[in-house]
Amino acid sequence: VSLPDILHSDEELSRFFDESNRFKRSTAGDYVLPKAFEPKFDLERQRFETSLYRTVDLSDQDVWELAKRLVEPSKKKPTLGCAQLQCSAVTSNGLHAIADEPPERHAVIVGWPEGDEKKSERKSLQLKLAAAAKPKFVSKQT
Amino acid sequence: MTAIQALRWNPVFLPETGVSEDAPKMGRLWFTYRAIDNSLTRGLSVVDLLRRIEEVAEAARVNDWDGEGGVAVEPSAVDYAWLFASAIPSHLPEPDISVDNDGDIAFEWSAAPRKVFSVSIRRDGVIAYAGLNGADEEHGSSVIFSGLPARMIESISRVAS
Repeated sequence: VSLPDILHSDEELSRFFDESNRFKRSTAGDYVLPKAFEPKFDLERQRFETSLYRTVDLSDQDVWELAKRLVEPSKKKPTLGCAQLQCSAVTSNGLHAIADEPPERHAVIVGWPEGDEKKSERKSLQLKLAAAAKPKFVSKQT
Repeated sequence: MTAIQALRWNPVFLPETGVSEDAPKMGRLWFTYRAIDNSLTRGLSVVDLLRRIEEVAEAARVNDWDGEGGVAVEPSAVDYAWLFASAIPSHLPEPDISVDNDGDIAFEWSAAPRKVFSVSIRRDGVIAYAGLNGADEEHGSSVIFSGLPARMIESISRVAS
């Protein structure tokens, strides 16, 4: 399936995680922690980016297969789950989600405030993205 | 050995938090008490926090520790994280501790998606923080001199309650 280059505002995005400090399980409801959206500085592109995948129109099974095929080989760890949010949650916080293939369906969140002195602003944005996201966990049968 | 490094091995060198003549003595007594206090009944245990800092730093002691180009934690970041941890009031719940991909050491308290407070400690002692409490947001930077700013303690208390 070929996705359009421009992301639609209601398009679903998934940030895969393989560490338990990306989410919290609670009797009141599981939720995503800010760490899940931590941007990293890309030396080549000279900007902060958060890597994620466009999982629009994919079943849960397809989402985990995507992770297994495209994410796990480089991380060398099993995927625990993902944080899912709509593209509009990114843009409403002044950030942008742009297509970044290959690999297929890959996208990045860009527009993060840059520089050491702006770290608290980046953290604040991470908090807001995490609050807008919903966690989804790999089932044991997968 | 710097003063902060010395602190890790000899807790009596904690920077003072008061201004009276007795403050240095009280500061030393306070830290010694906090460092040996491992009681579950008082909630947060400084010893456990310090142990946790060492664990996460050890796991991130070389570049690319996360397979995504993560910057190695520098010893000075660990020193400052120790200082920060030892100044957390014991009535606060234990934070999650981790390493950011830029080598900072992060402390995070959360009770719900919009009740979160996160602090990152840099290798030069600068702390970047951000909090979300319902509709209220805050973020900023500070430097570890002595103790935690009262405003930060209040914010953490609010989100962790």
